[in-house]
Amino acid sequence: MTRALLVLLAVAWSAAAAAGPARAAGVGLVAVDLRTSAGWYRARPAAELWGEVGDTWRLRLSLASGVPQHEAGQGWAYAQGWQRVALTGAWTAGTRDLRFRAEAGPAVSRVATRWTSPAAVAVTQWAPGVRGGLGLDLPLADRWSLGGLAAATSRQRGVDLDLRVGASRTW
Amino acid sequence: MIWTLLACSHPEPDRWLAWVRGDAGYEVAPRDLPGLEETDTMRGAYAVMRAGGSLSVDLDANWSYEPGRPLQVDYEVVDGVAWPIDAHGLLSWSFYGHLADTAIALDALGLSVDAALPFDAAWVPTLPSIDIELVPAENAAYAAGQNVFVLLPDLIEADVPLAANAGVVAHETGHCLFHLLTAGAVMADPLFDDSTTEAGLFQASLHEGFADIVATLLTDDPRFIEESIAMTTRRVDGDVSADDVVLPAQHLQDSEGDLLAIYDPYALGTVFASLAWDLRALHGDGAAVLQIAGDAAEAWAAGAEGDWDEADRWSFADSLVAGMPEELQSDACAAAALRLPGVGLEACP
Amino acid sequence: MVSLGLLLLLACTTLSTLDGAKTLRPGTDQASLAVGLQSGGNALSAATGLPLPQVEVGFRHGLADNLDAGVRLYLVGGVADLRYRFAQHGPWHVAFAPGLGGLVVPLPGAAVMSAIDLRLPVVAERDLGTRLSLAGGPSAVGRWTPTWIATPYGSGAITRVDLLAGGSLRLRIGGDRLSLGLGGDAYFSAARAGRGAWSAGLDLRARTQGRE
Repeated sequence: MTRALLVLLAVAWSAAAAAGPARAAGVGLVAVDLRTSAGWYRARPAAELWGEVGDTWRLRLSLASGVPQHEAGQGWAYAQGWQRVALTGAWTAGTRDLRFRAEAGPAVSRVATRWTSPAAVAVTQWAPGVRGGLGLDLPLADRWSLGGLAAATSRQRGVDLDLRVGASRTW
Repeated sequence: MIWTLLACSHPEPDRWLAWVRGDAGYEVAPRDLPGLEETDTMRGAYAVMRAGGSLSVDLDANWSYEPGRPLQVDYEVVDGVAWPIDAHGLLSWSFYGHLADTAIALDALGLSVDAALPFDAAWVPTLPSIDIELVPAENAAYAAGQNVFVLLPDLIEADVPLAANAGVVAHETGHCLFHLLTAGAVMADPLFDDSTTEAGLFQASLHEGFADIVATLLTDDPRFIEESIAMTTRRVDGDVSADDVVLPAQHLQDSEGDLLAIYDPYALGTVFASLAWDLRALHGDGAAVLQIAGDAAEAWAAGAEGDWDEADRWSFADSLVAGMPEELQSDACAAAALRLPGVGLEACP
Repeated sequence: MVSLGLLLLLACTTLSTLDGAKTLRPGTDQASLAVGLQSGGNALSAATGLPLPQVEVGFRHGLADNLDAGVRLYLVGGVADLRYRFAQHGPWHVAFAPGLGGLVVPLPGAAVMSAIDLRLPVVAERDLGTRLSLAGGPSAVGRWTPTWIATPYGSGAITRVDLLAGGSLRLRIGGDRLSLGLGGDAYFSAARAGRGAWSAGLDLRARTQGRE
């Protein structure tokens, strides 16, 4: 699934290059708090790639994938993976040295649990939702920038939270 | 490895993965969940489970409960068995299963909690207790008068999480049963609602003792809690007696003027539960002793209602001993003399 | 009594939005003092059901056109924020003021409670004359409360996570150098399904320079 989404990102990037507006691509580290079945939250680290086109108003396609979480106890064990793809519209404003951004748009989250004990069973959930976030970007030299984004993504009847810190470059 | 994608609607499972308690101890295995109507929101005949919500108490000591939102247990059905997407789904199903087992077992003994069904069970609600709000972990409770189970996450790694411990769930259900037997109705005020009086403190200890009686006798395990937390002070097969604990009258005397002094109801409660365990060992039938305990709780309430007096302190223990078969009375009295030294029971002249 | 007083200080956070959308001119300094009541949103208030007092001192500095930064200290933590006014049309101003706050409190026994707040308010402000303005807007507060605990049975950490969603409303009365604010904030618990929270109070604000 991750490979398919990376291909999607590459295709979108090429299309944007052909279309002409400013493009940016970035990578970041994400701290994700996933809602559990009991309504609690479990934190996990993740990485995110994104591609973006536009200037003041932008369109961003992002792919995030979390580090598999292993949980086990007496007589049970599983590994849980998490991925998310989001297509968000972003609005940016600010000074030359500091840019604020607001993002919103649809997202699809995938949570996949591979039970290894008491039996080998895989449970996978695909959940569409809405993602919204607010953040800051610090433009650096040579079209590079550092940025952070705090966001919430709806999944089923709950909300996942995440905080991303990353670097991006504009063409 | 079996791959399955979530469809728009699940086929109905006939079993659910949960912690189950067998003769060899606990294991995670498929089991039935009686009366469960909606697996994803955990709504059933025995409990409706929720996330969050709040329990609060006003300045007049009136309690109120605001339910949280329904759970969202994500799962998939494989060969008729529901597999949860995370361990918290496993916990929720385990809790419901133990709760149903306890209610069914009590009903079979004529100690029904049907008037309280379905229970509300809230995961981590806001609570009117500063110590629990600051440290919201390692606990499970039943709020009598609001008919709500409160479940908190485990902090300390254990073989069996608290909410998946059959004895813990039976203990909390035992609180509901004691409340029904003594207060008369599930939402009624407790017999004594002033925790600053000897009556209120004795009631608190009887609550804990009776709940442990239900847990130990239903599970037939005097150390049921130690699968989840190493709380050796709650063992009912030890040597604890009333001489080893601070009785309510002593606590009130020692703590006069100290607003922050807290009475430990578990200490005396363990004495009562230990006496019941002694009687079980004599009788050989834990279910029969549990029925005797139920009758003893009702008798205590009937006698204590109104003015509290010295006779009410030990009337529960008196009724426990008196309820034993005649041929075991002498040994029961000997056991009571060890647990309650210096206490003269009417059943033991 | 000392321990009770200590308890009153524990677990307090702040939910109040004290500033409107009109950013300070570059080089301008502002100091503020705020008092108020807060209900919910922290362990002590949630446990007692009582509104708790809160006192805050704040300092703000104009960094650039439409951009300023502020720091607030309260019982018993602090929050820092950047405010950017991204729209101004006639008497209307609109700003975004993300902030990061936190506190660390040792508890009785072997325990430490901490809280990390991520505050994301959007504020609109309208001048209602030369000495009056009304500000308000939606806000979200992400709150993480890690607590480290040691018990006789073991030790570990537990983190509560909540997302509070709501908004603020504040009336400001006074001149450019000195003004009084009256207002409040209200939130519902979007992630924990717990009780909502609110704060209300007043603040006094003083500036070194004139009109924004």
